Amino acid sequence: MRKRTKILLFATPWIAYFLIFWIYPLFYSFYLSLTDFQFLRGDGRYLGLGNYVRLLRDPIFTASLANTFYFVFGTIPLTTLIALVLALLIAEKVPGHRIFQAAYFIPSITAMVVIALIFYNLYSRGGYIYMLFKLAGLSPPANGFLQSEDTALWAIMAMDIWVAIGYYVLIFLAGIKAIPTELFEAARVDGAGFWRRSWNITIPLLKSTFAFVIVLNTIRSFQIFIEIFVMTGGRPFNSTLTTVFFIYERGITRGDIGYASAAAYILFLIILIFSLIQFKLINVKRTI
Amino acid sequence: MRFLAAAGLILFISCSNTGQDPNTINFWQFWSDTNTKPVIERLVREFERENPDINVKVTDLTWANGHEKLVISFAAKAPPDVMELGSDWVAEFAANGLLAELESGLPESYLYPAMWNDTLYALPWMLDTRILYFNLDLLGGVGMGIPQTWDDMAETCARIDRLGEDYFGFGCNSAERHRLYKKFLPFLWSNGGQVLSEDGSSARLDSPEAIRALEYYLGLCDCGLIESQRRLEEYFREGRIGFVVSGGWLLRRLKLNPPSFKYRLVEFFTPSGDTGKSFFGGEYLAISADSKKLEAARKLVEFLTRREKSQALCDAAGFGFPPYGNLEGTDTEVAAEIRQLEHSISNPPTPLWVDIEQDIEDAIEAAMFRHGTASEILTTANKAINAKLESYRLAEKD
Repeated sequence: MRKRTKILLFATPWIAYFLIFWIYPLFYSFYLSLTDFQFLRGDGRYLGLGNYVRLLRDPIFTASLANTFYFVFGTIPLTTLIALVLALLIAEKVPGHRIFQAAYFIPSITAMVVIALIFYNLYSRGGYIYMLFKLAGLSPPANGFLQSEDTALWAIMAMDIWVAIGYYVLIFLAGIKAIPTELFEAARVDGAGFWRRSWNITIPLLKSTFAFVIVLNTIRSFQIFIEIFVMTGGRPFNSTLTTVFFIYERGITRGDIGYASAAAYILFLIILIFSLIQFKLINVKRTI
Repeated sequence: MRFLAAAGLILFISCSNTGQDPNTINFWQFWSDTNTKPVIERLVREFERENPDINVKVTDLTWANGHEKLVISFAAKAPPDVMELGSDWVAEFAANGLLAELESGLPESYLYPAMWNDTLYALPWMLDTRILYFNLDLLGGVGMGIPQTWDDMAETCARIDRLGEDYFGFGCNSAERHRLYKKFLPFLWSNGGQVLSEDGSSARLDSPEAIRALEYYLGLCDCGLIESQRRLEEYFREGRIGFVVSGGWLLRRLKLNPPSFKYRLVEFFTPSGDTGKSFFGGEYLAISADSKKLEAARKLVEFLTRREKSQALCDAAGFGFPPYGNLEGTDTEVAAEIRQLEHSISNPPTPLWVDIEQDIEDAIEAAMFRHGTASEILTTANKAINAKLESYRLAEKD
């Protein structure tokens, strides 16, 4: 009994923190999503599911959802694939692999605001990426990549892939290290080359790592915000407006926190459904 | 027992009052660059010397998210005692009963943006406007002088654009929050248009004057560069843009690092060349209605808005004017700014301005990217703004 009391006492600060800063806001924001609560007015009327109905009819919200889906499905396959290939190469201990490992990880530990500002300049008219396109004989958008509806989102996605790869390389490397070395040694004795070993041993045994990477990347990609805030503010003409930025803009900038809470709950449901589907498809049960 | 004591200690420490002493007032402001921040600190020290029983804690905000931080602080019932507000924001906070009433003998036109329901809620700290900056060398290079009419200006823009892909007639601001509308409204007002009716009760964006102004602005953008304000000003200083709309800060930069070309500041003009109107803006100081240190807060606002203190801030910033009238320009460019300030207006104060401003910027952007004609887009925006005004009126009645 005394031991349990001690445990409870030590856990109390964390439990209190969890209840106050996680559980309470979770339920309170659901309550807010059923009202027309305004930040500055400080009150709101009960609307039932009114905000949810309004959201589904709001073309800007649906555009933000579409952009978010583009972002998620456009970045995850490439990020995962490139990270996997790089991890496989690094695990082979190619010359200078430690330098590569560190170099890939640097963007992941650099502040996103800094990266976004650098890329803003690179993508602008006269920026290095813009000029590279010109040198290659391609026609970049007249006002730069971020000022064109056709290229702004793709430009941010390309930057995001570059930023995210290093983190997932590390996760894949950790997964590869966990594979018993005897399997690789036996394959080598049997004459299997790099690609054969990767295809028949490494990749199948990285199933749970794949699940982890994809779920993590999905959740992260659905919540994309800083890049948008710094680089475009959801523009031009909502072509880079993501759902989290929509929530921020409606809830914090315009103070329509009831409406924004409803949008947040819709995003929460989408992420939940995607995570469950991904776990089901990859058939991971308690393996991670 | 020792564990209970330890737990109690943790609880005591975490719950103990770590707040400031009751003589400290919180002041949130936007001047954080290396030129102005030392002046803010000096002014605060002077104030504290003058009022030894009051301490001031200064917190810096940014224009990127300062409005949001203020909104959240009020929502969290922890607003600063004194805050700097953009001229368009006062009504939004005042209408929700969040600001303390103030009094002032300053010129009425300077107080207008800070009025709500005939009551004053903020004092002007410094004033600013937007004006046209022309690159005289580029204009001369295409055989044009300073444009006298809108047709002249459009022709100048087109000729400079034809100089090559590194030159642009006009600096067309991309849709940056709090910025784009300030670049467009001078054209709208100079063409006789309005955003809102005089009493602020309905939108006027679907008027022929407003539509014509947007069409004209789009024509300038077609022979210009669409970019952020910061980059447009860089391009202008490099001598690659014929003319831009900007504030006094650009003049300061041009004086600090004189460009290789001649430039001239020109007031906005009507299509036929008469005196036009520009955006009247500025920084205002307000006090939270729930401040527990109202008297101290009032003293700080009174101190900071004194002519010499305001002048010190303007000097450090390199732009802006104290809100005291009888302004005198030190050179022809500042004189042009002063004349423009005297022919500047602001919108009727409305608590919905942040929302309306976004609708205007969305509309300009939609037109820039050809998602409809100027007429269609402004008519849609007008309906949206009117719906919001109506909805606000109904909510107020409830």
